[in-house]
Amino acid sequence: MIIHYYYFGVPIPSLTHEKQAVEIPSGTTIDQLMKVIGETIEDSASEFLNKASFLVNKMGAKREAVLKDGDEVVILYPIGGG
Amino acid sequence: MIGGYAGKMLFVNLTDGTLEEQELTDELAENFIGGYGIGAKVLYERMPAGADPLGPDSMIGFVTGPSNGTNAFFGGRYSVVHKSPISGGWNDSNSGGYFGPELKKAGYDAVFVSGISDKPVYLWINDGKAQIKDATHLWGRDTKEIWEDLKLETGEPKLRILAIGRTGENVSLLACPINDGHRAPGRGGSGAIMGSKKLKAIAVRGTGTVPVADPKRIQDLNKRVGATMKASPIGKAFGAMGTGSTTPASALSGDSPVKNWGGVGILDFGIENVQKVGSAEMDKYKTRKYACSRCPLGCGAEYEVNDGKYPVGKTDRPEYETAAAFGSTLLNYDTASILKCNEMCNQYGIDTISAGMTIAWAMECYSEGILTREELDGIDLTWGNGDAIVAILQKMCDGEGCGAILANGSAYAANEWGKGEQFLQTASGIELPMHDPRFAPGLARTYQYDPSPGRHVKGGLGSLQMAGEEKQDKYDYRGTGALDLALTTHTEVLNSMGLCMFGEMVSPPGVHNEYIEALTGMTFNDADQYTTGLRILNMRHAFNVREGIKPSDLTISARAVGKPALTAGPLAGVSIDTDLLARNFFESANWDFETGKPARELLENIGHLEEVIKDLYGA
Repeated sequence: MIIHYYYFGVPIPSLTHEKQAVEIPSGTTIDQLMKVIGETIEDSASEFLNKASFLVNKMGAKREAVLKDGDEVVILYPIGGG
Repeated sequence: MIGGYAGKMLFVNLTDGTLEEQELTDELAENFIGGYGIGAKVLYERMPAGADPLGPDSMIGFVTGPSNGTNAFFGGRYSVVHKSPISGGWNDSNSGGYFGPELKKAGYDAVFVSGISDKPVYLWINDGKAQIKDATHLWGRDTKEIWEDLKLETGEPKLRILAIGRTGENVSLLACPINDGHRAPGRGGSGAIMGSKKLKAIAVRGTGTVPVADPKRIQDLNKRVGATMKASPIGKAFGAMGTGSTTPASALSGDSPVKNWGGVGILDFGIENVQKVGSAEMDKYKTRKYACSRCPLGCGAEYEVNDGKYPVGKTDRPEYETAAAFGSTLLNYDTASILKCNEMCNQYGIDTISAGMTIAWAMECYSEGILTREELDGIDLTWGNGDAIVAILQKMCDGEGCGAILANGSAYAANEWGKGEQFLQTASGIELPMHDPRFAPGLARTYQYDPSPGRHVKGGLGSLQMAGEEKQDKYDYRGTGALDLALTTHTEVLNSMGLCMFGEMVSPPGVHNEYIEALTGMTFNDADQYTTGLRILNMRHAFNVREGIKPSDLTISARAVGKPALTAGPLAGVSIDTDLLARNFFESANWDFETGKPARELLENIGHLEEVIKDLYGA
């Protein structure tokens, strides 16, 4: 299945708002998706994926949530405000 | 005197015009550290219970910490302490910049002011010499104008200043002093206290040196902190774009409240619009970056805005709290209006959080037909109407028309107008800050039950959750008390030292205990930190208990804790068990949940709280 994702508000230049797509097996959770994505970015940037929070189709979602074909995942920096 | 202190406190009585110096003892410094720790101890002892916050017995303190005026990184923050004219209980707020360190270098660890002057005055402190000076000619000047005025009047171009603007002169409850032209100990009504005393400003010039126990160790600690800061993504983000770097993401994640806490960022505001309230958008006006005293991060920036409908000229980058309060909370992505509001709040001296939140309350009342356009002096206060927001804020700053009511806050306005109470988003009458407990549920306990209600800078479980570092499912409320208390005591010490919380976010864990040792020369381990933090927390809490404030008197608005829960967005379905969170904390703190009284054996074990034991339990 195809999942669309992008980063939002992450203070790491390489992790941008540009929407990307990834093909993953059905039944994949957000946590498993983060492991797949983590392989594609530099180590220092991938650390934050362990703490990120998520929106799936504009709703909040936990790491254990199972994704469906066509879902849109927004990966948010975990630190709130200032 | 141990290191890290000037060794003197100044007590000013404006009724009779007297100034009295008093030694800061080692015992006070070692056990209450500084900032609001020392502030709570002094006010508890010297200010009578039941005093009118705006009356002559009321005392306001400006208190530094041991890091202020030294070389310790992030040591730029001082505390303002008083009884709040809004909540009727204890209040502390703190601010960065250069005022605190300058006061310390001028020879004073703290200044406490009581009484009421019969004419406007300012306090001029110049290298150990303090004078009360006439400020009649300065009444009406804004917080930036008076800085320039006093540089000329005193002949000291390098003086630092803390001053109220017209909002404080009007004794509006949302007023706050501004130091260094743009830094604010904003929360809880300290500007109203100064206005009620006719204290226009405190100007300081200090060229002294603050002695420290181990300068070399401070240098070494600074190097360690600098190294971790450089490697930290949040350090890089705050250093480049300030706290406003996080505003857009916070509006989407649910951290920032949206539409007076009833909306959903991604649905009501949208991804395109949230970006307009962040620094990435606003930094096109940036002319230079700046930092508080001894801060290697530098989250501040100067702007020059000469275009658009509000060409405010030289101004400052809005902080996260300000951008959210005048942005997402009002569904406002009119960047020009946010920059204008930020500048107005700095010039007039008004708390940006409470001002934005009060307008949000009025906006919802207007949208629901509870407040009419006539009651709002003809202003069409619709959601997202940036020009209307500026217009209503101007009325609040001037204390004119409906603004005379709104400048006292949303709870005051709801009471005065007799309607709209259901749309208040407050804790014990103080508007909530820009972090949503439904996102970080530990904040629900902090907002409602911290001795200074409605604060996001008091540590606790919520601080961990905001940082994405929670140890258990954040919506599992079982067994939270011990960790919530430990994190709170930790922050009590950090704040009392005069250190910045952003520094801690980018520093090695536990480093501020080492700073205390290097500054003062005393040993200070984790156990000392816990006991000292507990002592400061209990001192502040005891102030409220002595005022007769019980836990059941402390309120928080239902919407902010998910009652009812939102039905859409990232926080859909979240309803916080505030009662369990509170009971867990009270049990761990050994405070009675009915009376609020700390257990006698707790106070005895903590030590140095004899007057509290006497007041609460008899001799």
